[in-house]
Amino acid sequence: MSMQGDIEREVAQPGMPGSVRLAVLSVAAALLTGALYLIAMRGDALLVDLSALGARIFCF
Amino acid sequence: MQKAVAPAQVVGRPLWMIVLAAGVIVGMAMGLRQVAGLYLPPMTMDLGIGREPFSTAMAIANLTWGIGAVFAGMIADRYGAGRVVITGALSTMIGTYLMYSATNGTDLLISGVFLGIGVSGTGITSLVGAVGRAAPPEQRTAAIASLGMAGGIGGFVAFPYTHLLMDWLGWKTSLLVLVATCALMLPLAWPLSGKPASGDALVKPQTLVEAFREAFRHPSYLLLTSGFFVCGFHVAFYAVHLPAFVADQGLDNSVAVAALTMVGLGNLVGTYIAGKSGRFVEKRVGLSLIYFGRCFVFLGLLFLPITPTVVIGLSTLLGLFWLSTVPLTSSLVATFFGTAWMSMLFGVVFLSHQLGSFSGLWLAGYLYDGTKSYDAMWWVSIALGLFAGLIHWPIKERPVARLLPAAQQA
Repeated sequence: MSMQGDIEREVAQPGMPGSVRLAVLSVAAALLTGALYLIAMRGDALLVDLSALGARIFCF
Repeated sequence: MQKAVAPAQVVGRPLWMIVLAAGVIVGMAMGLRQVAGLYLPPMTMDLGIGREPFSTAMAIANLTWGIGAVFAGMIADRYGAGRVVITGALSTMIGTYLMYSATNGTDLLISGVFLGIGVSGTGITSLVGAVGRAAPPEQRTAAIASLGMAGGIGGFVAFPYTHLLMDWLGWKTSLLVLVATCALMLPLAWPLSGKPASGDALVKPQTLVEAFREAFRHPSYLLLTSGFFVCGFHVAFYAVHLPAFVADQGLDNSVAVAALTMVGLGNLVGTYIAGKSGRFVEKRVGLSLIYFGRCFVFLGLLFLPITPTVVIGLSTLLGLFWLSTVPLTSSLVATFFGTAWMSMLFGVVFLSHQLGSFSGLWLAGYLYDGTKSYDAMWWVSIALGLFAGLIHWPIKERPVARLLPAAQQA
C-alpha cells in the first residue's frame, strides 16, 4: 500500500462528527416516529388510496 | 489483494459528508417518487381524464427511470454526480409542477417523462458511484447501505406525510409544496460535484464502450443482472398486491397497512445488516441467502393459516430481505470492475430490476384474473427466488484481470 494511498485514506476517512451524527439520527427518528403515528391514525384512509395505486410499479 | 484505498472523489470532502448529502438526496427522490400515485384519484376526478393517462404517465416515468439510470450513471461516472443531481432535481421540479398545472392527459404524459428523468438523476443508481468511489473497499458496502436506508426512510415517511398534506392543503397546493421540497436537493449537489478522479495510475483508463464490452462478457455480472430481475419481480408484486391478497383472505384492511409498514421498517434493519455483512460473509452468499429467505416467506403465505399475526410476521421477515440486495449487488459491480463506471453499470443492473417489476405486476394480474387466486403467483415467486438464490452462488467475487496490476501493488 503506497504512502499516497495512506494519505488518501486519511483525507477521505474522517468520521462523522458526533454532533452531526446526533442530528441525523434525531431527524431520522423524528420522521419515522411521525410517519408511524400518521399510519396508525390514518391507516384505513391510506390504504384506500394505496389500493388505487395498482397501476404504479413499486420499486425502491 | 485488491488495492485497499479508493481516492476521495474530491480531496477535502470527507466520506461522511458525501454519504450524508447523497443519502438525503436519495431519500427525498425515493419519497417523491413513491407519492406520485397518490394523486391519481383526485387528478383524474378533477381533470375528468380517466385513469389511463395517469397510469400511462406513471408507466412512462418508470420506463424513463430505468433507461435514464444508465445514461445518468454514465454522465455521473464521467463528469461527476453533481450536475446529474442538479439536472434530476430540476427535472423532478418541472415534472411535479406540470402535474400541478396539467389540464389534460398529454400534460400528464409529459410530466411523466420529466419525473422519470428526475428520479434517474437523483436516485440511488446515479449516486452509488460517487459514494463507491469515495469509500475504501472495506467500507463501500456499508456506505452504499446507508444510501439504501435513506431511500427506505424517504419512501416510508413520504407516503403518510403527503397524504396528510393533501388533506390539509388540497392536492394542487400540496404539489407546490413538493416542488419546493425538491429544491432542497439543489444545494446538496455541491458535496457530490467535481469530476471523478482518473483512478489508479497503474490501471489503464477505460472508455465507455470498453466498459460495456467488458461487463457484458463477464459471467458473474450477467448472473448478478439476472438475479436483480427477480428482486424487482418480488418487491413489485408483494407491495402492490398484498392489500388485495389480505382482503381476499377476509382480513381487515388494517392488516395490510400494518404488514406493509413492517416491510418498510424491516427493510431498514435488513439493509443495515447487509451493509455490515461484508465483514462476515461473501456478498454472493448474502444475496443467495436473501433470495432463499424470500422463498420461505412465500411458502409461509401458501401453507400457514393466514391470520393477522402470520401476515404481519412474514411481512416483517420479508422486509429484512427487501432491498438489502442493493448494497450487496452494487458493491459486487464495484468488486468486478472498479468504481470508474460503477453508476452506469449498476444502472444496467437496475434496468433489469425495473423489467422484473413490470413483469411481476403484469403476471400477478394475469394469473389472478385467470385463477382468481394468488397461489400460482406465490409458486412463481418461489421458483424465481430459488433461481436467483442458485445463480448468485457461482459468482466469482474478484476484480477483472485489468485491475490486477493495481491490486498486486497493494
